[in-house]
Amino acid sequence: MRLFNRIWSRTASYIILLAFTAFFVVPVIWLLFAPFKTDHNLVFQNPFALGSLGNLFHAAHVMFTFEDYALLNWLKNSAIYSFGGIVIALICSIPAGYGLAHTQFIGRRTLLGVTLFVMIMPATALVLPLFLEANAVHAVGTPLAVILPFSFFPFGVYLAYIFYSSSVPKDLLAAARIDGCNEWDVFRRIALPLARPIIALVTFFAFVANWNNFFLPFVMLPNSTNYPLPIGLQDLLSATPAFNPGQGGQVPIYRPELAIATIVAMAPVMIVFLFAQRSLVSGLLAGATKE
Amino acid sequence: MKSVESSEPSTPLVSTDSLSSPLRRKRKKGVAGYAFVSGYFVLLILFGVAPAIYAITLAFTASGGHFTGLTNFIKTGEDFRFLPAFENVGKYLFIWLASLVVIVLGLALMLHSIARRVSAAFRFIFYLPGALAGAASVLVWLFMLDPTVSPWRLFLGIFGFKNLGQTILPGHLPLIFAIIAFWAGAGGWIVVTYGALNNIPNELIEAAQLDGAGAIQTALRIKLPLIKKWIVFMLILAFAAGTQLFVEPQLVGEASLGLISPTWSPNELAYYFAFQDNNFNYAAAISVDLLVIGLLCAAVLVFRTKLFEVE
Amino acid sequence: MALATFGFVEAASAAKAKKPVITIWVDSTRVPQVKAYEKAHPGTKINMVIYNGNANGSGVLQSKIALDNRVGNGWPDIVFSEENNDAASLASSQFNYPAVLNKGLVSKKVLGGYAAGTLAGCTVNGKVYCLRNDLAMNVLFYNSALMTQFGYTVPTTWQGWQTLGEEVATQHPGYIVGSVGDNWDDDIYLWPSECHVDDVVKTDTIDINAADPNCTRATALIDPLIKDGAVTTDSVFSSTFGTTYNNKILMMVGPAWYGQYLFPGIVTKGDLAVADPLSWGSGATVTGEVGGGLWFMSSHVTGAAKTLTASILTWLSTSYGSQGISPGYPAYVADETPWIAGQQASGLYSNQIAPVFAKAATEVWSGWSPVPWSTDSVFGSTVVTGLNSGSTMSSQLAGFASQLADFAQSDGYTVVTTP
Repeated sequence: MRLFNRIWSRTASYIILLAFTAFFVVPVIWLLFAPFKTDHNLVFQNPFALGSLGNLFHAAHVMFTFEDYALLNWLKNSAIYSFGGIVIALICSIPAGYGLAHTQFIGRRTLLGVTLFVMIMPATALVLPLFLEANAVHAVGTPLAVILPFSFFPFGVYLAYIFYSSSVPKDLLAAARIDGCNEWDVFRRIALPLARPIIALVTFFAFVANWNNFFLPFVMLPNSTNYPLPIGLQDLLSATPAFNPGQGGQVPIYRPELAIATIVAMAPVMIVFLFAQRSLVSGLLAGATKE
Repeated sequence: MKSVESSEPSTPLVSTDSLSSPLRRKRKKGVAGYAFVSGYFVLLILFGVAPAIYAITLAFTASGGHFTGLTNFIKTGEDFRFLPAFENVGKYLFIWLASLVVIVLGLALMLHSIARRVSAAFRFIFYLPGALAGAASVLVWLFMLDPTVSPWRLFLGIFGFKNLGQTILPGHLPLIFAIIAFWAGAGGWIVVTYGALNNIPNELIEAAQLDGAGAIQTALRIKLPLIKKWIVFMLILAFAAGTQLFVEPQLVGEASLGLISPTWSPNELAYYFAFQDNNFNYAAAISVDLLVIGLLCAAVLVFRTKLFEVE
Repeated sequence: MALATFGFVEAASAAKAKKPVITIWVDSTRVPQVKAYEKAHPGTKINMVIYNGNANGSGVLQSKIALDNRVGNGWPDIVFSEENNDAASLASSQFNYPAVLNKGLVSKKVLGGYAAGTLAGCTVNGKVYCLRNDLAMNVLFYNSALMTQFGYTVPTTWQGWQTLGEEVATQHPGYIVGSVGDNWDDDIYLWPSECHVDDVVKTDTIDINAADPNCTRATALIDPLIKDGAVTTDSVFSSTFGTTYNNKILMMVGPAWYGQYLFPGIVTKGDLAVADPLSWGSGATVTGEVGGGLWFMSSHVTGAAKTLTASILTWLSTSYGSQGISPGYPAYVADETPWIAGQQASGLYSNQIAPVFAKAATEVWSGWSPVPWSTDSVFGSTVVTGLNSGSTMSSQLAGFASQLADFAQSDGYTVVTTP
């Protein structure tokens, strides 16, 4: 009977998982096939029809040479801003999460509360004061105006906090303290290695948040040479006749070209995801068992 | 790294409420904690607290800087777009939260119960849409929502939609935005929840199964309670993100060449006040409205589940 | 003293004599026009920033100007906008961005060189805040081959258009004479009817009247045609419009740019023709307009840079070097002829388009004023949405007007209703 239950629940699980797979992935497959077709075929052929390589090369050529290789420039800028922000975010968030979970100090709960408060505050309201701050130190238009705010990553702090407080046993740390380690050593030798999966998770989420952030760069960067991908994509849309009829101009950007730009914007995120997943797959506490 | 299933622990790995170690000492209050949070603290003040205080001040002052009490709140509350925006988001929130919690937890639990490699593949697929930034997915949704070209046209045809305009009639929008937001956002939460589930030591699960618990009982009685903090965190953020809906109405508006009001959601209305009307005070007032709503939800959840407590 | 020997003083005076860098914001379509200026004037330093042209009501320009106003610096010197309402929006006291051009910055001669009445879209309370880049006046497009084939005459009045539409519905179902499925269709059907829903009668006072007979006569004309299928409620840029109505568009009122951007591929090359805008029978013929770009100059430019900036602005809007490569119908009369010749040579049209376009350019009704909100956006979310759910156009007028009134009041206008 139990075997039957297990088989039944397994099958049901798979059916549901496959249904959701279709839901999530069909639009993405459509997107991946799109550059292989012409704009006309995109509309009139079967959505899953395979196109031709020739169309792909044409679309890729148009897209990459658009505005003097603007796409590559956007990619480069996005990479600089995202990685710059991640490095500082990691250095600050992981120890903070650990400190909030495993040390006691006055104001610990307040800090947690204030962090949550700031996370809930609508970003629209923070745009102006951030801009004023950057302007006051003449940072507007420089990468730092984007990288520094990016490194403030309260979500990462909470991920680390919840991880450390629910998954890392106090006994481990207490034992180390009894053995004479100071707090820093406890963190460096025990808590930090255990946190490999959470570091992967925080890196990944920080990367995505920075990579897809539109508002902050929009406000801080007046020159189009500094634009990251989200802003570049928005400008691209307005150069596409399909989205801006009557204004489309000299370089015809049609939907297959847009699809290429979209895929280029997506790809790095998926690559980082694959790397981060490796650390997640084996479980968050595997290291502890060896101690 | 070895998987948890092959581990051989001798001491319990997780201090649950019922298993407290005799080695545990009362934690002394000290100053080490300050060192650990110092870097983050500076960033928090610079990019979190200071701007938030500025924004809140804006909500209670006028453009000249003088204090005006609740005037901005009353004025924005009376604006003809205010109530419709909150009604819209209310309907949206209901669908969004329900589907997010149920489906994310359900899918994460299912993924947890199947083989690792397969599970990783599913997680990758579920996450794919999340990689598409707002502007990037406009193209995708232009096609998905248009019955004449969509891969989902059979499905849309059941509802009798003949063109994009019919798909995005006002009554359908809360559901459509919820679907889009879910499509883009669920993957990330599934990854986090899966990670949290993976955390649970296998003996606890095996013990429950030995006691005769089926899959669903194990899930409800063992797994979910052990990841309570993660679920609460997800709820708080999902609620706040839901009330602050912005991207989805914008992108469907772009895809449809402007058939959707640019102030469909309160957050869009705040943006409109700030940047189309140059009235940052009104924008701040609406932002504070949204903040208060989000905080209420957070407060209720934090206190009921003791999110901030550690043993 | 020691500083002087190290060249500090020279450096300082060199800095003063340094040429100003003029920052110009354009969308990607106008990039060639700026590049043409740079080529023709190698000595001038231009910092070109490419943005989305403030397209589709995105408000990017307003956001940037709002922030720059807050800190008191950073404004772009010249800006191109695709959004018609920006003249009113940016000139309002909230933004105070554009420089007034008709008080000396741009010569009377140049200002007079635009097609008559076209600067009205740039004028608020008597002050000219921008120069037009291109025009988008509505004309009547028709398929000359189909007209001959069916034996119809091209109508000259709206009433004639409706009668012909009814005939088409019975005799040739499947063929259309118009469409109401896009948010700019109010500019095509209500504007030429002199419908008072966007008439700024004096400073901060606007006339919005849904019951205006000029409005109801237009919707009453169109509703039966929609019911019969002679007018479609599909968007002209929907995915399948092109195939569904391939060579099935008998005629359609639309802006000049429909010729280049909509009809190629839908109408056989050489079959497309244009006729004067339809009239309502009494009084002068007026038409509407859908788009046309605007060039602004910042009011914050000072000193020597001011003249330079004004001259760049003028060049971009009026010189043939710029307008010749512009995809739209030039607003500056002197550039129209060579541009039209190019269009005619493309073989798209079966008749002479120059006289039709030139005349229509001067007939845009001035009673549809630039305002800080988007009338088109409201039309889209009320009327077009209503049509998509099966309502008639006439039934949506009240909702349309009341939302417009809400916007007007919210922006500080007094709303009046004069029939």
